[in-house]
Amino acid sequence: MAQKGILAKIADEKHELEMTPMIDVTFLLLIFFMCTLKFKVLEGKLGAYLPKDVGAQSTPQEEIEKFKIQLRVLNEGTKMRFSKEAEKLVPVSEAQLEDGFRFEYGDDRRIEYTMGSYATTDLEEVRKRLSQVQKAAIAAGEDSARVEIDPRERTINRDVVRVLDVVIGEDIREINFSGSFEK
Amino acid sequence: MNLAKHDAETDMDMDMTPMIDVVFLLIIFFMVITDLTQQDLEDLQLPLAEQATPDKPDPDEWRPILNIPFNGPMIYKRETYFDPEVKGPNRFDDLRELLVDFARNMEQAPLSDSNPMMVPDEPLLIRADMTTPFRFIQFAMAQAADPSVKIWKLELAVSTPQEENAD
Repeated sequence: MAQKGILAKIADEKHELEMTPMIDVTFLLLIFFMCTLKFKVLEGKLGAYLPKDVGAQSTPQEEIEKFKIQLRVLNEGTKMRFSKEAEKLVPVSEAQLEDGFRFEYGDDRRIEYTMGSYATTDLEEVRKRLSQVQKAAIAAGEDSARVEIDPRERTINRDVVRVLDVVIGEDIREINFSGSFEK
Repeated sequence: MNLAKHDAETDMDMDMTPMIDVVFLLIIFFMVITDLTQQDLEDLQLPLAEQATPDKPDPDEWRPILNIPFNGPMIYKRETYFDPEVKGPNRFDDLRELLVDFARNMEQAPLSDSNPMMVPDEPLLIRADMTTPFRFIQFAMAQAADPSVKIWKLELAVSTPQEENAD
């Protein structure tokens, strides 16, 4: 009788799947992937150099001839910000600017690139000139032409990186910057 | 009935599942916290460049990174070393000290074949937002080139066209 009672008890037991550990593990995996995805940043970089001998040389150095590109802002452009509602760039209001909103400039921004006596707003023209300069330098037996980028007032990082990108695209490796913080 | 087989004191099984769960949670928690405290990349929108070389740093290797958001502060590991809003004669000191410290931790190499003076031979990575006025970056460069620092290799962080497409 007692034997039968045990079997009947076993037969009556409910076999439920324990969900708690599965939920635990699922949450753990979810948190783990959320965290790792957030921190995975793949970026690129552009190299440039500063004068290596600043403060180190006591004797004056011979001035090396450099091809100078001056950047001047002709039109600053409309200040825009990305609107999540409109899913596009919209102009920023004065109040938002005062509140310290991050903004970027619209397509109407114009930069003038001056190389010697020649000035243009077309980066393609800059590319052509740089190509000639580089060819001339190589023909003269040098490894690379020397370029100096001189960003003037109100230029932003993007303006300079565009020029730097073109310069590096022409395989020019001797790049310097000029200008000062307080201008 | 065989009571010896069901001794309550010897037959006790410990459920390990919650303990393992908690241990994993703690490990992940500390991993995330450590990552956050050591995070040296600010959330910035970098300018786009086609000629960029991919930046794949060794996570265990230290490298000097200066973040410059759109309004000009200079940040290293979440700490601001220069704030353009702050005025005063000593406002450049913290940044200069940081750069001197960077230079000291960099590998050194002779200035040239003829000049054995040792100068830092590793690049400083400047991560500036695409809308950051370039004068702030010039300022950081000028500080880096100072005779007390002598960092002459620079890298400007950019985003690559592949990244833009991926977004």
